[in-house]
Amino acid sequence: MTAYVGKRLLLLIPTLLGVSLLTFLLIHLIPGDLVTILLGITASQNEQTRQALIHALHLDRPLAVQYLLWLGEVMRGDLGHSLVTGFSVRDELVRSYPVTLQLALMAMSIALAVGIPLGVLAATQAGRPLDASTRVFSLLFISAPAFFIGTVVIIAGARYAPWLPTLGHVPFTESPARSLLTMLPAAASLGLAISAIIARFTRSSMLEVLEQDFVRTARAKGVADGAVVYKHALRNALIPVVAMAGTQFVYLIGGAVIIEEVFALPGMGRLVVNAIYQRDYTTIQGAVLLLTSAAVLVNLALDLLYHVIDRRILYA
Amino acid sequence: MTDGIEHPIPSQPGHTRRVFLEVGAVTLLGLAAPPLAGSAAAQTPKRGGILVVAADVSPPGLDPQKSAAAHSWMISEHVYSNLLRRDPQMNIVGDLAESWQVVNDTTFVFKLRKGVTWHHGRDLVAEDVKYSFERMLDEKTASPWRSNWQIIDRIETPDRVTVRFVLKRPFAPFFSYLATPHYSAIIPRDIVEKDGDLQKTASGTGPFMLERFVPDNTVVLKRNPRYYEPGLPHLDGIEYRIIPDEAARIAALRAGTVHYLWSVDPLIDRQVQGASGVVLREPDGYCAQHGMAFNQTKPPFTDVRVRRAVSAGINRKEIIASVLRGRGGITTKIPPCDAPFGYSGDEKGLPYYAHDPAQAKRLLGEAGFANGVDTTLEVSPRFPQTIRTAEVMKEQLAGAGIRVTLKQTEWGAALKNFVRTEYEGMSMIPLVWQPDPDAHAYDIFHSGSNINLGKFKDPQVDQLLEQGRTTLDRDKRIAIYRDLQRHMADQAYLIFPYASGATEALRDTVKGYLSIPGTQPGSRSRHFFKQTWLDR
Repeated sequence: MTAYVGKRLLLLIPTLLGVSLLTFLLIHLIPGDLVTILLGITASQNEQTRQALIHALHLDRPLAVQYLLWLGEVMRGDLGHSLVTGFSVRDELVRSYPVTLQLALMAMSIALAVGIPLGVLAATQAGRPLDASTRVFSLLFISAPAFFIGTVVIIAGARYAPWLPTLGHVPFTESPARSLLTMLPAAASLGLAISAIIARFTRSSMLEVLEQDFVRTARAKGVADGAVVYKHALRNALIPVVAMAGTQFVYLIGGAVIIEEVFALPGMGRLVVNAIYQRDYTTIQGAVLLLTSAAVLVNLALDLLYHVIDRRILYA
Repeated sequence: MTDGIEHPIPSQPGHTRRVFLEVGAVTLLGLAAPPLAGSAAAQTPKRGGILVVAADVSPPGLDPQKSAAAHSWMISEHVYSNLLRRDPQMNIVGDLAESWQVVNDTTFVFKLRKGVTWHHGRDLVAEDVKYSFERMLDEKTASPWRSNWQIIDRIETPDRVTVRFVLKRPFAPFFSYLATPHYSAIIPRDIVEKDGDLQKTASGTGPFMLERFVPDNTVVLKRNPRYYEPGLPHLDGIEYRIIPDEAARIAALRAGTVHYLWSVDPLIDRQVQGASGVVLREPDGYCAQHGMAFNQTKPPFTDVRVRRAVSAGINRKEIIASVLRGRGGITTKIPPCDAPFGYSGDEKGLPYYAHDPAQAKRLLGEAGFANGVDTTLEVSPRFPQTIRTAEVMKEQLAGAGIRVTLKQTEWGAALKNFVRTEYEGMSMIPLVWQPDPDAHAYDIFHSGSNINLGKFKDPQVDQLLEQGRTTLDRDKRIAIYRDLQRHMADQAYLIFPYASGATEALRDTVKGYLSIPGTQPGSRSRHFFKQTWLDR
């Protein structure tokens, strides 16, 4: 087990190197240049001003040298400074990543808390009106994009509950209660959409498990209905659900760009997208390192979670 | 300007009531009533309160000498002061300069206001002014405004309150530049040296002090209790909340959680009309333009007749009516808000400005394109207004035999292509307002400039640009720039479909809000939050 985890963590190094090199090349392949964007049309016409800036940002060095310069800084534990704002990239990540993580965790909690019971309910009531109504719920939230639901939540909130904070962000460390409350509408918009998918997954997985022999055996020996469903069946039905929810979670920790925009959350998604628009290479590189590490770690955690759910799954 | 004339600043800046909020309310109701003169004066400003502004974009740093982004200036202009500033009538008046003296065409002496202190407590001295300009001129600062000040030969500080500028040559835009907040903010050397730059920290001499800046989230300013204008500002502070989504900004305004929106789409008026407690404020003037350039390095736009056909083939009035819902004016590169340099919103005297598809077809025929021309127009979806404009123009030009294919390009690439003339046929982007006709025209038209939009060479244009830059007599300058605009329109080097202004939306509790046209791209106005107050 320890050896398995160690091996997976060691693999992180070549993964990060590969991903950072790939992003570096990709971002330099996009047409458009940082200096023009930085200086704007007013100032970019002056060749001296341009050259001074190009030199100050090391953009006059060959690409390979630029990459190695950046890599050297990373080795020393420094992610460098944003080419656009001059802010420390590390500070920017430290500022924005907790927002994204909080949103991801809250959205996922809502998704699981709503999706799994709903899926179980639909499976046990298969074919009856309750099953049909969960299907309507799922269809609604799967088809309506989160940004649409989010915008509706904001407009409805402004109209019917203007006292409810729906926009902006209060850091968790500043006031946990206000932080959770302010982020709730955003997390719900995101979480409900995922809960719909989880409910569908749980339903079909449960239906399959409920048909199996061991469930029939449990019923035959007189186990109560609730215990059969929640203790015996659900545990076995959960593996595919966790796998699917895990994939969704990996997406979420990469930053939910559109929800962050709609609800004015200063998270990672906005940081990265703005950095791409402005060709802010150092910020993009730093963010990609962090996101890649997070994705790798979450995947590892998920793999370990399978073992917790089903002890028969072992690691070599 | 003549030798040795003192220019004292007026003791009371003259506010026009025309631009107070009540006008917005009247216009909103659609009444053609004259402005309610006096009603604003009847109310005594109340002190206190935090004005909450919904901003669309987070400032990429607050250093006025480093950031070329308007979202930075719109905050830094409340924190820093300049030697000079513009009053609501666009006249140049003193700010930190109490008086000034024109010694000769290249030497100017400014006397600083006494008793001004920095937000961190130290007295303002002449050395600060000198340092501010020298920092911008230093190549290491990589300031976007460096080229503006390369005209300066030296700056002397004979005593603590006197600054003497000596220029290399006579330079007509000098005073305009000094009165432009982001070009010439006076900054403190000690803070720059302590913090490295002013991107995240700030200490100025302006009406508000920086309390907090959290990128992508919020900027909080508080009242400067030692601000030099007695009694100002009225507000305890300003809180900018960064809300990127327009629907969310409008919802917040309707709910009353924000007082004022930074950017309002000209077509958004219907979304806020009828919302209780929300006031729509019409533009103060039309300052922001769209500019369409032709690639003149290859046919067909090397031929002046084809360019003229495009100019006559578009219907500017129709574009203004549809895209801007009437909130705009006819323009050249120098917009109507810069009258008398600019044309004040009509097409008279500007060749090929009147819509005439028959003439356009005739011109195409003469140029050998009797069957019409196929070309492309590159635009960026970053600005929906650009796309809407381009779509209308495409339809209009089709009627003149010019078949346009719209090419949508990501903003960073579109901007670069526009600036370097690396597009196929035509390219259009929103252009920013500049503080002086020279700044508007010189770099983008002059054949010796890197930018020279569209890559055309015209000795007559170059000569007029040089004259405009070095002629200090105002009337002669006006005549020069009028000649230039007429000539540019006649040659149709660039097409300017319209100039637009900002329609703003605010809560009716916001009083004394005042702005002047210009200074901000995207048709925004400069804000005077220091005399704004909240009627709570």
